Amino acid sequence: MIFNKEINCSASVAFWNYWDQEHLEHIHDGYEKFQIIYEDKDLIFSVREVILPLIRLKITTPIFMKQLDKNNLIAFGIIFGVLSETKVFINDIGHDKCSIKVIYKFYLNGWKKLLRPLLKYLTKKWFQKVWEEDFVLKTRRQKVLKYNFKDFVGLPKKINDRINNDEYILKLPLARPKNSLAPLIKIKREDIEFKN
Amino acid sequence: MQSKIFVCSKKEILKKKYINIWVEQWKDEIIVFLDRKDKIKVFSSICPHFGGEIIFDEITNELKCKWHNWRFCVDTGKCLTHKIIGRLKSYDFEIKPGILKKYSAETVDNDIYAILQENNE
Repeated sequence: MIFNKEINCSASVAFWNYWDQEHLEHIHDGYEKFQIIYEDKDLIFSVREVILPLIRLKITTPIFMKQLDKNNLIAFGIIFGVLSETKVFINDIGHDKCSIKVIYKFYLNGWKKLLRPLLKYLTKKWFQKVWEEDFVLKTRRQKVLKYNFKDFVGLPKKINDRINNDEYILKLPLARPKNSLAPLIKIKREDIEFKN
Repeated sequence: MQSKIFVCSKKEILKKKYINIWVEQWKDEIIVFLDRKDKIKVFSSICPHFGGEIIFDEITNELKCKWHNWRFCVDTGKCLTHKIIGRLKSYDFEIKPGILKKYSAETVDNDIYAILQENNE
């Protein structure tokens, strides 16, 4: 299933919205508890409780999200025992505007093929709901960044400094305060590299 | 230099408990609310974390961000959830007697004006 949308924010701002895990439970009805297991500069592995729309069934799913390119990502989850794949492609299409293409794929085999109509229906509803709830996060963040907003600081003190035409550059992983939710596993990149 | 902006009528704030309004002249969004002691307060409503919208939580008597649930002190604007540099900027305000609205025959209740003291920034 493919969804195409356009929105008035830069591709980096839209990507930030997809990468920010901590807004999910506060903005989207249906997202509940979650725990980041591991996080690196271009991937997040987490476990999340989600209440499916309409049928209101609570499921727990691992979610693996990987940045493929500057503004593209892939995510995997499991629903009803079916592996789901979500690809998000974001492109700048002019001044502070971007297009977003989301491709959902479910790996169905055997009896699980019977779930195809249900998954198709739920995915369509889910995408639209999440898109609407996230809309203001993208456009508002774009707005405050244009007013020279700095993360963890806010707007500049002087009104005259509240202007910024520089491109927003997203740095991953997203910065968090020290006492914030931390990944369960802390692995340094050197620890997982092969050593000859 | 001081600039004064009409925000809302007192009647409106008593009814809604809090109001968020974007003030283009100041390039800031502000929240006007009544705290637990029925005291009117005016703060910036842009969360210093990622820029989320600040709302007033009447039950806890705190300001909180809709995006990540970060909480802020209603007296100082200081973040209560995390130790960060930023805080919600507070604005002085004054309440003036009602004025006659252009298209209304009625006099509105007391109006709330927020005051920006640019020299004190």
